[in-house]
Amino acid sequence: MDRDGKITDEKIDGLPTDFDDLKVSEWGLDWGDISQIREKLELTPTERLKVAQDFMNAVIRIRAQNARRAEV
Amino acid sequence: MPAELRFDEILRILAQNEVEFILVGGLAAILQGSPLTTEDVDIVYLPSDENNIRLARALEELEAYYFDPAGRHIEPDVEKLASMRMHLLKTRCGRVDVLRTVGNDLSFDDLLERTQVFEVENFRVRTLDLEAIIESKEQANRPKDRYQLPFLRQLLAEIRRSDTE
Repeated sequence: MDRDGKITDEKIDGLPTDFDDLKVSEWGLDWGDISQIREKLELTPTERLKVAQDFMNAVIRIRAQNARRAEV
Repeated sequence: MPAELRFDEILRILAQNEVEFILVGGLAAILQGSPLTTEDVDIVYLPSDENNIRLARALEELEAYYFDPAGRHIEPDVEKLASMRMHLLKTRCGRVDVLRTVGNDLSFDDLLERTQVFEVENFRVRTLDLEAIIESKEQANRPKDRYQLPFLRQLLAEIRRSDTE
């Protein structure tokens, strides 16, 4: 570890270990966001649709399990 | 709310009924690589007599009814598709917004030249291209549109970068 408390190990050199290490693009997105976009671009449109659909269905299931029904 | 969202089934039924429509909004961006999520399908339809009949048939198959703040059960039909400009619908596969125009009053015919056709499973979906989606978000300029813009602009930059490689 260096004086700032960061890990100094050449085996993980270049690996972002803190938010300051993440470069921000001209559109204001960091590497984490950009890598998500690149992952989506590796998929076919059919696969992109399925990923989005599956994700939203998982969110809806978890919401239903945990949400309190609003009194109307 | 349906037990499961089925974007694929909504698009398949529209395609099978030969409805002339353009997919717009969040799902159009997702087909092109957007990492953002959505809970509905937004389409702009050609409001011709023949297409209204095809669309009404597809919506019947989807068991569509209007999202009505008063809680009434009102189903779309050919007359409503011919006369109303906006149809916010619930279906057995999730919510579908069926629109005559988007952005600055842009119709199916206005948008047509700014579309791309994607193969999804075994059918084709005409989709508003990413630049036009970005423009529509810029024009709408609501907080939820402004939130999406950095992601869509970055996506467009990534697509252009990969095209030149």
